[in-house]
Amino acid sequence: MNWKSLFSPGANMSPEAVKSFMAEHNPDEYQLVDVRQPKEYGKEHIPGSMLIPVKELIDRKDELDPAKPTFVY
Amino acid sequence: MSGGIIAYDGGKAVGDEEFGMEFFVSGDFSDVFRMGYAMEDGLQQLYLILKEMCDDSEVKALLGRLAKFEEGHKAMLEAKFPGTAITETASLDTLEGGFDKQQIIDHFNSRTATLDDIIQLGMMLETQAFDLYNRLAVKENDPESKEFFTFMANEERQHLGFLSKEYDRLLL
Repeated sequence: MNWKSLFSPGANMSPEAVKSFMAEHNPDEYQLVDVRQPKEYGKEHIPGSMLIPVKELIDRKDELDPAKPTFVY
Repeated sequence: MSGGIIAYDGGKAVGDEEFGMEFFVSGDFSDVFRMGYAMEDGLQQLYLILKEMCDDSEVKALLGRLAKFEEGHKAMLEAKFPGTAITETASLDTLEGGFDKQQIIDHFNSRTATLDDIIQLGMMLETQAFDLYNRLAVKENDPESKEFFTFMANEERQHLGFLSKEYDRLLL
């Protein structure tokens, strides 16, 4: 599987749209992925996000559910 | 998300991936439930202590409402997960999200709490709790505990919604 397809359709969303989506959905209905470095995540992150640094993304793609809307930052 | 976290103006959580998880290490659902319940209880007690400490009637009323929220939350937990014994919940110094209760009390001992302070405190605690329960739900393998963490995350999300509305009203 092409890992990029996990994030299909891959459109850019504004932070306002993401925030509004999160407010209207249960947290188990979507995935929020922080692809920055662990130290950046520790300093601050969007609540509910999972940390998968971008360099680990290919190896850890199985941790993501392709059926759920996924927001990446 | 365009602009990344810099462009995101919502509440943010702090701490590494494991922050706060140490309180839920046992893996046994009854322990998980008791710890979650005790954290709710701890937060209710904090709101009541702060209520006693302050003089402003509006701040007192808000703290009373927040304490009632936690009371309702505990009742909901008992109803949703019946049969899970809540025997002598230990008094916890740790609050939802992993914060230290005494540190917060000390902070408000040295200053007069305003409505703004209390709403922001509540939002900070609920944000951290939302984050913690989400991280726990993702990592948990036991279906019962996973359901519990997911339920708790959703509850914290709703509390955050209430506090956001209070804050918006205050800013009007």
